[in-house]
Amino acid sequence: MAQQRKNQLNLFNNPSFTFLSLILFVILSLSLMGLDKKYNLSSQIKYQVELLKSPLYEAINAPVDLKNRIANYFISQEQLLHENEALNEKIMQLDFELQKLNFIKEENTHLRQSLKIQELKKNHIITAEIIHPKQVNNKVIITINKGSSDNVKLGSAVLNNLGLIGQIVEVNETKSMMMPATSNKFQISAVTDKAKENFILSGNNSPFLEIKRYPISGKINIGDQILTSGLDHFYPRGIKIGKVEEILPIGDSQYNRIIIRPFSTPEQLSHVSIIAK
Amino acid sequence: MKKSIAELRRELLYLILFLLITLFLTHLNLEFFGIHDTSPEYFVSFIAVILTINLYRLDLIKVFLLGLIADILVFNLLGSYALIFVVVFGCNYLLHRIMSIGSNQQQLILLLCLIQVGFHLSYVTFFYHGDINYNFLTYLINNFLTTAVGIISFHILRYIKR
Repeated sequence: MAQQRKNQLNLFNNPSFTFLSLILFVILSLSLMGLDKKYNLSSQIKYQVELLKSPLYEAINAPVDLKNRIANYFISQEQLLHENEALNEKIMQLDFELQKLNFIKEENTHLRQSLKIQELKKNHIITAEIIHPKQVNNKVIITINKGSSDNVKLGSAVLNNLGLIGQIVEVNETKSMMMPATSNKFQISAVTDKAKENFILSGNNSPFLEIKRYPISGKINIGDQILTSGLDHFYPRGIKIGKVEEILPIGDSQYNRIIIRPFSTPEQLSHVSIIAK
Repeated sequence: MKKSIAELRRELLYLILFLLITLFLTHLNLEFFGIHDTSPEYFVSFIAVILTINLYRLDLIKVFLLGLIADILVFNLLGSYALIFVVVFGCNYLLHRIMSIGSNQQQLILLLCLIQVGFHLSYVTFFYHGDINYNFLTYLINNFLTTAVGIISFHILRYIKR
Protein backbone atom coordinates (compact mmCIF):
# COMPACT_ATOMS: atom_id res chain seq x y z
CA MET A 1 0.00 0.00 0.00
CA ALA A 2 2.77 2.39 1.07
CA GLN A 3 4.76 1.41 -2.01
CA GLN A 4 1.74 2.11 -4.23
CA ARG A 5 1.22 5.57 -2.68
CA LYS A 6 4.91 6.37 -3.05
CA ASN A 7 4.65 5.55 -6.74
CA GLN A 8 1.75 7.98 -7.14
CA LEU A 9 3.49 10.87 -5.44
CA ASN A 10 5.94 12.19 -7.96
CA LEU A 11 7.17 15.72 -7.58
CA PHE A 12 7.43 15.99 -11.33
CA ASN A 13 5.85 14.07 -14.16
CA ASN A 14 9.29 13.96 -15.70
CA PRO A 15 11.39 11.82 -13.31
CA SER A 16 14.63 13.47 -14.41
CA PHE A 17 13.62 16.61 -12.50
CA THR A 18 14.99 17.01 -8.97
CA PHE A 19 14.30 19.12 -5.88
CA LEU A 20 16.93 21.50 -7.25
CA SER A 21 14.48 22.39 -10.04
CA LEU A 22 12.04 23.65 -7.43
CA ILE A 23 14.71 25.96 -6.00
CA LEU A 24 15.62 27.08 -9.52
CA PHE A 25 12.00 27.96 -10.30
CA VAL A 26 11.74 29.96 -7.06
CA ILE A 27 14.88 31.88 -8.05
CA LEU A 28 13.51 32.33 -11.58
CA SER A 29 10.24 33.76 -10.19
CA LEU A 30 12.11 36.15 -7.91
CA SER A 31 14.36 37.24 -10.79
CA LEU A 32 11.32 37.82 -13.02
CA MET A 33 9.75 39.96 -10.28
CA GLY A 34 12.90 42.02 -9.97
CA LEU A 35 13.32 42.44 -13.72
CA ASP A 36 9.65 43.30 -14.25
CA LYS A 37 9.81 45.86 -11.45
CA LYS A 38 12.91 47.47 -12.93
CA TYR A 39 12.33 47.20 -16.69
CA ASN A 40 8.52 46.81 -16.93
CA LEU A 41 8.96 43.68 -19.06
CA SER A 42 5.33 42.68 -19.25
CA SER A 43 3.55 46.03 -19.55
CA GLN A 44 2.78 45.72 -23.28
CA ILE A 45 1.37 42.20 -23.02
CA LYS A 46 -0.62 43.16 -19.91
CA TYR A 47 -2.22 46.07 -21.77
CA GLN A 48 -3.15 43.79 -24.67
CA VAL A 49 -4.72 41.37 -22.18
CA GLU A 50 -6.55 44.29 -20.52
CA LEU A 51 -8.15 45.09 -23.88
CA LEU A 52 -9.14 41.45 -24.31
CA LYS A 53 -10.71 41.57 -20.86
CA SER A 54 -13.15 44.35 -21.87
CA PRO A 55 -16.11 41.91 -22.16
CA LEU A 56 -15.33 40.72 -18.63
CA TYR A 57 -15.49 44.30 -17.33
CA GLU A 58 -18.74 44.83 -19.19
CA ALA A 59 -20.19 41.69 -17.66
CA ILE A 60 -19.11 42.81 -14.19
CA ASN A 61 -20.54 46.30 -14.64
CA ALA A 62 -23.77 45.10 -16.27
CA PRO A 63 -25.77 44.53 -13.02
CA VAL A 64 -24.78 47.96 -11.64
CA ASP A 65 -25.64 49.67 -14.95
CA LEU A 66 -28.97 47.87 -15.09
CA LYS A 67 -29.76 48.83 -11.49
CA ASN A 68 -28.94 52.49 -12.24
CA ARG A 69 -31.07 52.48 -15.39
CA ILE A 70 -34.03 50.98 -13.57
CA ALA A 71 -33.59 53.42 -10.67
CA ASN A 72 -33.47 56.36 -13.12
CA TYR A 73 -36.57 55.11 -14.93
CA PHE A 74 -38.66 54.86 -11.78
CA ILE A 75 -37.48 58.06 -10.14
CA SER A 76 -40.51 60.03 -8.95
CA GLN A 77 -41.47 63.45 -10.28
CA GLU A 78 -41.49 64.83 -6.76
CA GLN A 79 -37.90 63.72 -6.26
CA LEU A 80 -36.88 65.32 -9.57
CA LEU A 81 -38.55 68.60 -8.62
CA HIS A 82 -36.79 68.54 -5.26
CA GLU A 83 -33.46 67.85 -6.94
CA ASN A 84 -34.10 70.63 -9.47
CA GLU A 85 -34.85 73.09 -6.69
CA ALA A 86 -31.64 72.18 -4.86
CA LEU A 87 -29.62 72.56 -8.07
CA ASN A 88 -31.15 75.98 -8.79
CA GLU A 89 -30.24 77.09 -5.29
CA LYS A 90 -26.69 75.86 -5.84
CA ILE A 91 -26.46 77.71 -9.18
CA MET A 92 -27.48 80.94 -7.45
CA GLN A 93 -24.81 80.45 -4.78
CA LEU A 94 -22.17 79.68 -7.43
CA ASP A 95 -23.21 82.75 -9.46
CA PHE A 96 -22.63 84.88 -6.41
CA GLU A 97 -19.23 83.23 -5.84
CA LEU A 98 -18.40 83.76 -9.52
CA GLN A 99 -19.09 87.48 -9.28
CA LYS A 100 -16.64 87.70 -6.37
CA LEU A 101 -14.08 85.63 -8.27
CA ASN A 102 -14.35 87.81 -11.39
CA PHE A 103 -13.60 90.83 -9.27
CA ILE A 104 -10.61 89.08 -7.66
CA LYS A 105 -9.38 87.94 -11.09
CA GLU A 106 -9.44 91.45 -12.47
CA GLU A 107 -7.67 92.74 -9.40
CA ASN A 108 -5.08 89.97 -9.72
CA THR A 109 -4.46 90.75 -13.41
CA HIS A 110 -4.04 94.41 -12.59
CA LEU A 111 -1.60 93.65 -9.76
CA ARG A 112 0.39 91.26 -11.96
CA GLN A 113 0.67 93.93 -14.63
CA SER A 114 1.81 96.57 -12.16
CA LEU A 115 4.29 94.16 -10.46
CA LYS A 116 5.38 92.68 -13.82
CA ILE A 117 4.71 89.07 -12.70
CA GLN A 118 4.23 86.45 -15.41
CA GLU A 119 0.71 85.16 -15.99
CA LEU A 120 0.10 81.71 -14.46
CA LYS A 121 0.04 78.88 -16.98
CA LYS A 122 -3.53 77.74 -17.57
CA ASN A 123 -4.19 74.04 -17.26
CA HIS A 124 -6.41 72.02 -19.53
CA ILE A 125 -8.77 69.74 -17.60
CA ILE A 126 -9.89 66.37 -18.98
CA THR A 127 -12.86 64.61 -17.40
CA ALA A 128 -12.66 60.82 -17.26
CA GLU A 129 -14.66 57.92 -15.94
CA ILE A 130 -13.25 55.28 -13.59
CA ILE A 131 -13.63 51.79 -15.03
CA HIS A 132 -14.41 49.08 -12.53
CA PRO A 133 -12.96 47.25 -10.73
CA LYS A 134 -10.98 49.57 -8.51
CA GLN A 135 -9.50 46.79 -6.47
CA VAL A 136 -8.22 43.43 -7.69
CA ASN A 137 -7.07 41.00 -5.02
CA ASN A 138 -6.64 43.72 -2.39
CA LYS A 139 -4.50 45.74 -4.77
CA VAL A 140 -5.90 49.11 -5.75
CA ILE A 141 -5.90 49.30 -9.56
CA ILE A 142 -7.71 52.31 -10.95
CA THR A 143 -8.17 52.39 -14.68
CA ILE A 144 -9.75 55.40 -16.37
CA ASN A 145 -11.31 55.61 -19.81
CA LYS A 146 -9.04 58.32 -21.26
CA GLY A 147 -5.59 57.75 -22.73
CA SER A 148 -2.88 59.31 -24.84
CA SER A 149 -5.38 59.97 -27.67
CA ASP A 150 -7.20 62.32 -25.24
CA ASN A 151 -3.95 64.10 -24.36
CA VAL A 152 -3.45 62.33 -21.02
CA LYS A 153 0.25 62.32 -20.13
CA LEU A 154 2.34 60.25 -17.76
CA GLY A 155 2.57 61.97 -14.39
CA SER A 156 -0.57 64.11 -14.82
CA ALA A 157 -2.38 65.00 -11.59
CA VAL A 158 -5.81 63.42 -11.02
CA LEU A 159 -8.34 65.31 -8.91
CA ASN A 160 -12.02 65.93 -8.32
CA ASN A 161 -14.02 68.82 -6.86
CA LEU A 162 -12.80 67.94 -3.33
CA GLY A 163 -9.10 67.81 -4.11
CA LEU A 164 -6.15 65.73 -5.29
CA ILE A 165 -6.63 61.97 -5.53
CA GLY A 166 -3.59 60.66 -7.38
CA GLN A 167 -1.31 60.62 -10.38
CA ILE A 168 -1.29 58.92 -13.81
CA VAL A 169 1.33 56.16 -13.86
CA GLU A 170 0.58 54.24 -17.07
CA VAL A 171 -0.85 55.57 -20.31
CA ASN A 172 -2.33 53.53 -23.10
CA GLU A 173 -3.97 54.88 -26.26
CA THR A 174 -7.50 54.70 -24.87
CA LYS A 175 -7.01 53.97 -21.18
CA SER A 176 -4.78 55.10 -18.35
CA MET A 177 -3.95 53.84 -14.93
CA MET A 178 -3.70 56.02 -11.86
CA MET A 179 -1.89 55.60 -8.57
CA PRO A 180 -3.93 56.79 -5.58
CA ALA A 181 -2.38 59.38 -3.28
CA THR A 182 -2.51 56.87 -0.42
CA SER A 183 -0.16 54.46 -2.23
CA ASN A 184 3.22 53.88 -0.57
CA LYS A 185 4.86 54.94 -3.85
CA PHE A 186 3.23 58.38 -3.79
CA GLN A 187 5.10 61.49 -2.63
CA ILE A 188 4.26 65.14 -3.11
CA SER A 189 5.58 68.52 -2.11
CA ALA A 190 2.92 70.23 0.02
CA VAL A 191 2.23 73.32 2.08
CA THR A 192 -0.21 74.24 4.87
CA ASP A 193 -2.88 76.83 4.24
CA LYS A 194 -1.81 78.87 7.30
CA ALA A 195 1.84 78.40 8.13
CA LYS A 196 3.11 78.28 4.53
CA GLU A 197 5.75 75.71 5.40
CA ASN A 198 6.87 73.30 2.69
CA PHE A 199 7.27 69.60 3.37
CA ILE A 200 7.08 66.21 1.63
CA LEU A 201 3.87 64.27 2.06
CA SER A 202 3.74 60.54 1.34
CA GLY A 203 1.23 57.71 1.19
CA ASN A 204 1.66 54.59 3.30
CA ASN A 205 -0.88 52.10 1.92
CA SER A 206 -3.38 53.09 4.59
CA PRO A 207 -6.38 55.39 4.05
CA PHE A 208 -4.17 58.28 5.30
CA LEU A 209 -1.20 60.31 4.11
CA GLU A 210 1.67 61.26 6.39
CA ILE A 211 4.57 63.61 6.97
CA LYS A 212 7.15 61.18 8.31
CA ARG A 213 9.34 63.67 10.19
CA TYR A 214 8.05 67.11 11.04
CA PRO A 215 9.99 69.29 13.53
CA ILE A 216 8.23 69.70 16.90
CA SER A 217 8.88 73.43 16.63
CA GLY A 218 6.73 73.56 13.46
CA LYS A 219 3.46 75.45 13.35
CA ILE A 220 1.16 72.71 12.06
CA ASN A 221 -2.06 72.10 14.02
CA ILE A 222 -4.84 69.53 13.96
CA GLY A 223 -7.48 70.60 11.42
CA ASP A 224 -5.06 72.56 9.17
CA GLN A 225 -5.62 72.13 5.46
CA ILE A 226 -2.79 70.77 3.31
CA LEU A 227 -2.38 72.02 -0.27
CA THR A 228 0.01 71.26 -3.13
CA SER A 229 2.98 73.62 -3.10
CA GLY A 230 3.66 73.48 -6.86
CA LEU A 231 7.41 73.20 -6.19
CA ASP A 232 7.61 69.82 -7.92
CA HIS A 233 6.33 71.31 -11.23
CA PHE A 234 4.02 68.28 -11.56
CA TYR A 235 1.01 69.59 -9.70
CA PRO A 236 -0.28 73.15 -9.87
CA ARG A 237 -0.03 75.10 -6.63
CA GLY A 238 -3.04 75.24 -4.31
CA ILE A 239 -4.85 71.95 -4.98
CA LYS A 240 -6.42 70.70 -1.74
CA ILE A 241 -5.00 67.39 -0.48
CA GLY A 242 -6.35 66.80 3.02
CA LYS A 243 -6.72 67.86 6.62
CA VAL A 244 -4.35 67.22 9.56
CA GLU A 245 -5.94 64.43 11.60
CA GLU A 246 -3.30 63.54 14.19
CA ILE A 247 0.13 64.64 15.43
CA LEU A 248 2.11 61.72 16.84
CA PRO A 249 5.44 62.10 18.65
CA ILE A 250 8.30 59.86 17.43
CA GLY A 251 9.94 58.51 20.60
CA ASP A 252 12.31 61.03 22.20
CA SER A 253 13.29 62.63 18.89
CA GLN A 254 12.80 66.24 17.89
CA TYR A 255 10.23 65.24 15.27
CA ASN A 256 6.55 64.40 15.07
CA ARG A 257 4.69 62.20 12.63
CA ILE A 258 1.73 64.00 11.08
CA ILE A 259 -1.27 62.01 9.86
CA ILE A 260 -3.39 63.61 7.14
CA ARG A 261 -6.85 62.50 6.07
CA PRO A 262 -7.32 63.02 2.32
CA PHE A 263 -10.42 64.98 1.30
CA SER A 264 -11.26 62.40 -1.29
CA THR A 265 -10.26 58.86 -2.28
CA PRO A 266 -10.78 57.27 -5.72
CA GLU A 267 -12.74 54.38 -4.18
CA GLN A 268 -15.63 56.79 -3.56
CA LEU A 269 -15.74 58.18 -7.11
CA SER A 270 -17.02 57.34 -10.56
CA HIS A 271 -15.60 60.38 -12.39
CA VAL A 272 -12.30 62.24 -12.07
CA SER A 273 -10.56 65.22 -13.68
CA ILE A 274 -7.04 65.07 -15.10
CA ILE A 275 -4.81 68.09 -15.47
CA ALA A 276 -3.22 67.85 -18.91
CA LYS A 277 0.30 69.25 -18.74
CA MET B 1 -2.72 5.02 -11.23
CA LYS B 2 -2.27 6.56 -14.69
CA LYS B 3 -5.05 8.72 -16.07
CA SER B 4 -6.46 8.01 -19.53
CA ILE B 5 -6.22 10.64 -22.28
CA ALA B 6 -9.99 11.22 -22.19
CA GLU B 7 -9.82 11.74 -18.43
CA LEU B 8 -6.91 14.18 -18.79
CA ARG B 9 -8.80 16.14 -21.46
CA ARG B 10 -11.84 16.40 -19.23
CA GLU B 11 -9.66 17.55 -16.34
CA LEU B 12 -8.00 20.15 -18.56
CA LEU B 13 -11.42 21.52 -19.40
CA TYR B 14 -12.27 21.72 -15.66
CA LEU B 15 -8.95 23.45 -15.05
CA ILE B 16 -9.61 26.11 -17.72
CA LEU B 17 -13.17 26.65 -16.48
CA PHE B 18 -11.97 26.91 -12.90
CA LEU B 19 -9.30 29.42 -13.98
CA LEU B 20 -11.89 31.57 -15.80
CA ILE B 21 -14.25 31.52 -12.80
CA THR B 22 -11.34 32.50 -10.54
CA LEU B 23 -10.48 35.36 -12.88
CA PHE B 24 -14.09 36.55 -12.91
CA LEU B 25 -14.36 36.41 -9.11
CA THR B 26 -11.04 38.23 -8.71
CA HIS B 27 -12.41 41.12 -10.77
CA LEU B 28 -15.82 41.11 -9.13
CA ASN B 29 -14.53 43.16 -6.19
CA LEU B 30 -17.20 42.12 -3.72
CA GLU B 31 -17.17 43.73 -0.31
CA PHE B 32 -17.66 41.33 2.57
CA PHE B 33 -19.12 42.23 5.99
CA GLY B 34 -19.53 45.79 4.67
CA ILE B 35 -15.79 46.39 5.07
CA HIS B 36 -13.80 47.90 2.25
CA ASP B 37 -10.60 46.02 1.24
CA THR B 38 -12.00 42.60 2.07
CA SER B 39 -11.40 40.21 -0.78
CA PRO B 40 -10.37 36.55 -0.76
CA GLU B 41 -7.16 35.51 -2.53
CA TYR B 42 -9.05 33.53 -5.16
CA PHE B 43 -5.91 32.43 -7.01
CA VAL B 44 -4.38 31.01 -3.81
CA SER B 45 -7.56 28.98 -3.25
CA PHE B 46 -7.44 27.96 -6.92
CA ILE B 47 -3.92 26.52 -6.83
CA ALA B 48 -4.42 24.90 -3.39
CA VAL B 49 -7.58 23.13 -4.57
CA ILE B 50 -6.22 21.85 -7.89
CA LEU B 51 -3.08 20.54 -6.19
CA THR B 52 -5.05 18.90 -3.40
CA ILE B 53 -7.36 17.01 -5.73
CA ASN B 54 -4.50 16.43 -8.19
CA LEU B 55 -6.36 17.89 -11.17
CA TYR B 56 -4.72 17.39 -14.57
CA ARG B 57 -1.51 15.94 -13.05
CA LEU B 58 0.16 19.35 -12.81
CA ASP B 59 3.94 19.40 -12.65
CA LEU B 60 6.32 22.19 -11.72
CA ILE B 61 6.56 23.74 -15.20
CA LYS B 62 2.78 23.79 -15.68
CA VAL B 63 2.30 25.31 -12.22
CA PHE B 64 4.93 27.96 -12.96
CA LEU B 65 3.28 28.80 -16.31
CA LEU B 66 -0.14 28.96 -14.64
CA GLY B 67 1.36 31.45 -12.19
CA LEU B 68 2.72 33.60 -15.02
CA ILE B 69 -0.69 33.52 -16.76
CA ALA B 70 -2.37 34.57 -13.51
CA ASP B 71 0.12 37.45 -13.14
CA ILE B 72 -0.64 38.74 -16.62
CA LEU B 73 -4.39 38.31 -16.22
CA VAL B 74 -4.64 40.27 -12.98
CA PHE B 75 -2.00 42.89 -13.91
CA ASN B 76 0.42 41.76 -11.21
CA LEU B 77 4.17 42.05 -11.07
CA LEU B 78 5.37 39.24 -13.37
CA GLY B 79 6.48 36.27 -11.25
CA SER B 80 4.46 37.05 -8.09
CA TYR B 81 1.84 34.37 -8.54
CA ALA B 82 4.42 32.13 -10.22
CA LEU B 83 6.45 32.27 -6.99
CA ILE B 84 3.39 31.61 -4.82
CA PHE B 85 2.25 28.70 -7.01
CA VAL B 86 5.73 27.12 -7.10
CA VAL B 87 6.12 27.39 -3.30
CA VAL B 88 2.63 25.94 -2.71
CA PHE B 89 3.53 23.14 -5.13
CA GLY B 90 6.71 22.45 -3.15
CA CYS B 91 4.76 22.42 0.13
CA ASN B 92 2.26 20.01 -1.39
CA TYR B 93 5.12 17.65 -2.21
CA LEU B 94 6.70 17.95 1.24
CA LEU B 95 3.38 17.42 3.02
CA HIS B 96 2.73 14.35 0.90
CA ARG B 97 6.12 13.05 2.01
CA ILE B 98 5.47 13.54 5.74
CA MET B 99 1.70 12.94 5.93
CA SER B 100 -0.55 10.18 4.84
CA ILE B 101 -3.08 11.80 2.51
CA GLY B 102 -5.86 9.60 1.28
CA SER B 103 -9.18 10.29 2.92
CA ASN B 104 -11.41 13.33 2.45
CA GLN B 105 -10.48 14.74 5.89
CA GLN B 106 -6.77 14.33 5.23
CA GLN B 107 -7.14 16.13 1.93
CA LEU B 108 -8.98 18.95 3.69
CA ILE B 109 -6.12 19.34 6.18
CA LEU B 110 -3.66 19.42 3.27
CA LEU B 111 -5.83 22.04 1.56
CA LEU B 112 -5.88 24.24 4.70
CA CYS B 113 -2.09 24.01 5.02
CA LEU B 114 -1.57 24.94 1.35
CA ILE B 115 -4.01 27.85 1.57
CA GLN B 116 -2.23 29.21 4.65
CA VAL B 117 1.19 28.97 3.00
CA GLY B 118 -0.09 30.60 -0.21
CA PHE B 119 -2.08 33.28 1.59
CA HIS B 120 0.79 34.40 3.82
CA LEU B 121 3.26 34.37 0.95
CA SER B 122 0.86 36.41 -1.20
CA TYR B 123 0.38 38.91 1.63
CA VAL B 124 4.14 39.33 2.02
CA THR B 125 4.69 39.58 -1.75
CA PHE B 126 1.90 42.02 -2.49
CA PHE B 127 2.49 44.11 0.62
CA TYR B 128 6.15 44.45 -0.27
CA HIS B 129 5.65 45.23 -3.95
CA GLY B 130 2.09 46.30 -4.38
CA ASP B 131 -0.55 48.55 -3.02
CA ILE B 132 -2.45 46.52 -0.48
CA ASN B 133 -3.72 48.26 2.62
CA TYR B 134 -2.43 46.37 5.64
CA ASN B 135 -4.98 46.17 8.39
CA PHE B 136 -5.14 43.32 10.90
CA LEU B 137 -8.93 43.01 10.74
CA THR B 138 -9.03 42.83 6.93
CA TYR B 139 -6.09 40.41 7.07
CA LEU B 140 -8.09 38.07 9.34
CA ILE B 141 -11.24 38.41 7.24
CA ASN B 142 -9.35 37.83 3.99
CA ASN B 143 -7.65 34.77 5.46
CA PHE B 144 -11.02 33.39 6.57
CA LEU B 145 -12.63 34.15 3.20
CA THR B 146 -9.75 32.58 1.23
CA THR B 147 -10.05 29.42 3.34
CA ALA B 148 -13.83 29.37 2.92
CA VAL B 149 -13.58 29.81 -0.87
CA GLY B 150 -10.98 27.03 -0.98
CA ILE B 151 -13.12 24.57 1.01
CA ILE B 152 -16.24 25.32 -1.06
CA SER B 153 -14.33 24.97 -4.37
CA PHE B 154 -12.73 21.75 -3.12
CA HIS B 155 -16.13 20.15 -2.44
CA ILE B 156 -17.60 21.39 -5.75
CA LEU B 157 -14.63 20.17 -7.82
CA ARG B 158 -14.53 16.82 -6.02
CA TYR B 159 -18.23 16.37 -6.73
CA ILE B 160 -17.83 17.31 -10.43
CA LYS B 161 -14.70 15.18 -10.84
CA ARG B 162 -16.57 12.16 -9.50
